[in-house]
Amino acid sequence: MNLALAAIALAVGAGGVIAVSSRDLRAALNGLAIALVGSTLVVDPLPSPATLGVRIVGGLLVVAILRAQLPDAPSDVDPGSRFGWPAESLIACAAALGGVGIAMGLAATPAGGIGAAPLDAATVAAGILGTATAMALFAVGATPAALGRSGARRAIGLVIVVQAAILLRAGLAGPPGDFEQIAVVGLLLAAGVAGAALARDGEPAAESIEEAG
Amino acid sequence: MNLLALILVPLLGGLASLLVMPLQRTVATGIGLATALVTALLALGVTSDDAVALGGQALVGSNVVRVVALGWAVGTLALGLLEVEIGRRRIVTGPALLALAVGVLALAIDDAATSFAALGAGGIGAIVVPSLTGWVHGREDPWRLRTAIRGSWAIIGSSLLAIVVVAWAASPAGPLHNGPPVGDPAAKTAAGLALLGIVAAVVIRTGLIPAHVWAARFIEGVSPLAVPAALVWGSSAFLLVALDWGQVAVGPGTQGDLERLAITVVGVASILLGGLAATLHDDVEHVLGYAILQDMGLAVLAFGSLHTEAADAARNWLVASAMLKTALAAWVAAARSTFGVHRLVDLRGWVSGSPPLAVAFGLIVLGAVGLPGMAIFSARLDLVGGVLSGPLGTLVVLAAMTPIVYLGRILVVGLGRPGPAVAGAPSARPRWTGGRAAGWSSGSVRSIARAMPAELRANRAPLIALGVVILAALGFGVAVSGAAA
Repeated sequence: MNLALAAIALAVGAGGVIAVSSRDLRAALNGLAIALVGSTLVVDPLPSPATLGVRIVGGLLVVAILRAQLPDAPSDVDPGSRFGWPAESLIACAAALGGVGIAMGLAATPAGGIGAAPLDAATVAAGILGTATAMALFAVGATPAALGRSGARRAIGLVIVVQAAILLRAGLAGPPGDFEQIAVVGLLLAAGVAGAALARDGEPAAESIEEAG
Repeated sequence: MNLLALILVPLLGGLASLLVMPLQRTVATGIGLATALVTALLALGVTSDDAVALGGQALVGSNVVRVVALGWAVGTLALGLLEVEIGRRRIVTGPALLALAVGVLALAIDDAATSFAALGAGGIGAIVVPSLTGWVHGREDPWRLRTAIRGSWAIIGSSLLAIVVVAWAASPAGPLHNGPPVGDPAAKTAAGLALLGIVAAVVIRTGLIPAHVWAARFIEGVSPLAVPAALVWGSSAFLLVALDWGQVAVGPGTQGDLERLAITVVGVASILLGGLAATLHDDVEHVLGYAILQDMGLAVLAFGSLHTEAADAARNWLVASAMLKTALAAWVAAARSTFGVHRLVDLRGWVSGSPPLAVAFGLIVLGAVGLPGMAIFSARLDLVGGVLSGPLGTLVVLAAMTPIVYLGRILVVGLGRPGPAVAGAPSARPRWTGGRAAGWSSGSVRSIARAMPAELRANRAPLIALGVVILAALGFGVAVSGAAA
């Protein structure tokens, strides 16, 4: 098992937990940045430097758009996860273990092509880690994406779920080609922009909050 | 290179139109319309020989790519022009061009995962922009934001589900890595699961029953002009990519009875209930929405067999239906603009109120129902025949012919004595306001240019009707010839 890859996968999971559980929106977006940038590295072999650059810049651009566009809801409106970070971490760990199980089961299935074409250990390890990280991100991101108490939290959840699916795709079928990586960046950006637009639209205007107060 | 231009031009034009829209509405509309025109011209030049290698993948031209790009671009141009005349807000061209660019990319590229990622990225604007900025019931309507969120989820969720299914099937450790299953029961079960997964993604994306609520609310809440990009062309592109993937990865004739039953039930439910709802509803926007649902329900039956005949029939059906529903959306918007009403009871006598709209509607009905020998007619029979035979198949074919009923009902209402709304509507006959008393032939170019806006304003209704007639004629042409050849 590649230790560096495992450390990155852990950082991605931690970033996801911070993104959904932090009360401070800025800290949540920092966690999201860690998750998005780290996710580009949980593959073996790594894509070319140019493609890697596109993915990393794309991930940071999503965070920048969310930072610029998301309304900063007060913490009594949006206190982050209902469960708190310890519970979210445990959920992520459990899901990651499930992901490991899925990946190992898939690799061992007699119907698979693994028997016909043996894979090298590094690729299998990256696949298992990618699947585990994807499941962890999905587990922590799905609830805020669907039931988030604020538009900002729903947007963050949506981006995390998209990233989880992309990681799962890489975990199952190996790193995407260069062109697919660009399409993936487009998908992440679209999710970020749409999430931010929906969040802005759903929040009451500042004046109306003041009037109500 | 033509293929690459066909993707880049609408992509950049659509983005520019969207970005400029909040600052300069007229400039943004101009950019959108000009881009749609250039895209249509570029689409004419696409051939099956066009191929571009890009980032390790190949973009290949085909007849389907050409017809889809041409129909979508002409539709966007016509709907964009109608929006200038009819709409209060400009929500059509920017999102439609973005969706068109990724739609062409998705159909041309040889990798399904890239196609689904691109369709998810480019399709979301066509839902979010009209929902947030062009909701006809006003900003306070509780369904506005809810529909936008659900629609976004449907677009992104269906793409993500499809990406994961494709990855699982292509995985080196997965069950379908060595191609469609042959003989191995475990691999057949896996192929069935993969097929159901991709059909589930199609059901969510196209808003088929039981995932139709968001699509129904969307159609109720936005201008009919915004519907084709979001629910007709985008859904068709998604379905076509899924069908291509199914033919290659799962293979024809490998489905078990359970998978075929599930696909048939979803398709037939959408055909029956879509046709019934379109027949029972009294407002023309609902008729448009449920007609789209019925079309998609018929196309999804192709997954039940995945044979070449069924896949070709689905291509013909989807492209022709998309073109005809674009024309129907334009007709709905034009009728509402001309007569100021949208309920059938108020549209009494509309045929005599606007003969050009009647010509357009006649072409739409003829194209949607089809006649023996037309591609759309054969496609309907092949799609149903691929999964059902005998009396049940005949019944479903009859149910799929309900456009005769729900479109015929609109026509019958139109043939009656004109009601107050129709009687009070502006005439659809072309007329001159006398802006050039000296006569057009002897006037200078400058004076003609000065008189033009007044003449255009005076002939608003006939010009709108002319746009709808052109769209309907195009739709009828595709219904006759098809797109799969």
